[in-house]
Amino acid sequence: MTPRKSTLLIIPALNEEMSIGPVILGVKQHFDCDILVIDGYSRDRTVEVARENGAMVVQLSKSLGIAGAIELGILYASREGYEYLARIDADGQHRPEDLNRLLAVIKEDKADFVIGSRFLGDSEYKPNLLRHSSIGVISLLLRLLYRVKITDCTSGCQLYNRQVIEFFAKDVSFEYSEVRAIWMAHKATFRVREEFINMAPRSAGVSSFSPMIAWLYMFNNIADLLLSIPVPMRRYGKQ
Amino acid sequence: MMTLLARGISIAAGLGLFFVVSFLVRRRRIYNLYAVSWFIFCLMFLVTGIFGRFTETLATILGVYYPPTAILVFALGCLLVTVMHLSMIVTQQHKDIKRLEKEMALLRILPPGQEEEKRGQFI
Repeated sequence: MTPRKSTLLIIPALNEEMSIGPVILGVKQHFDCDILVIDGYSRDRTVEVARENGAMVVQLSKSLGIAGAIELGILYASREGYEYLARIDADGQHRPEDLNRLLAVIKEDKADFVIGSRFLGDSEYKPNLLRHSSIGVISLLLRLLYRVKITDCTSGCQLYNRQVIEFFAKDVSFEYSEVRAIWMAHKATFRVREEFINMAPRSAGVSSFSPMIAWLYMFNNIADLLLSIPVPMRRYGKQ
Repeated sequence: MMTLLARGISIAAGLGLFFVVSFLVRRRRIYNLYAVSWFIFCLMFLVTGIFGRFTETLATILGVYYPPTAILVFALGCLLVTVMHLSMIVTQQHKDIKRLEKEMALLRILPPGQEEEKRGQFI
């Protein structure tokens, strides 16, 4: 049995047989980690391709969504005692080379939670208007409500250290979303930081993110942020 | 003032509902906690039946001119509480199912080395 690495990389995937192989190979070439592909019962050969390329694979019902997949990854990382947890998308938009730079920030103890942002520099990928504006609104809300400056709050490239993994894993009713993870970690006084990553246009396949889901995602996150407004409450009996 | 018949029907309905709900609770078909909102309903029927002036008093307090409407308003309020309670239960159950599904998936993950050996087996 091969010994565990200190970093776990999770890749949520759904019908990505074209891109999952190159993604895993790229990661293996540039980044030292165990890879866990969380598949939402794809109809194509995603699972086989991922296994052939030497990743751990687990299938989780599609109805739990990407959120469920990430929560599963967090639980796994917590139970198996991984020091760091990284996540990237399966569509090949994130460059595995960048992960080393992001991990270095955590390893140097400059942050507990690092986000790979495509807006901090000149990235190849340009999101469409709807996505760009929704990211803008959410970023603004994050800044207004939590005083946390994040340019790319919906980035699918995030890295956590052990404390953040444990913080999320121990919360039984934790429901992951890229945005919620940010403000929850920030509220719990973890240091959240952004680093630039270059993002390529989608390499192959179709995104499961339809316009309808994009709207829903945006609505969900904004409602969530507004409902989470930190209310200063007096704690009786506690000084 | 309600007629004697109306009060009788109201009390009978309240008692009937009470027996049905307590029967279901005793048979473990409804959890005690979930029966709470139903018992509130029983109480409402019984109160309107036993205290004949209740409806008029309620109507006066609420400023409703036509007393029977007060009953509807009150019933609607009780229903809202019940539905809210059900939403909470559904959410909790959804969370539990997701948790269970994740726990099961965790059991199915094989460490890198074992992946090769187990290939082809049903896991």
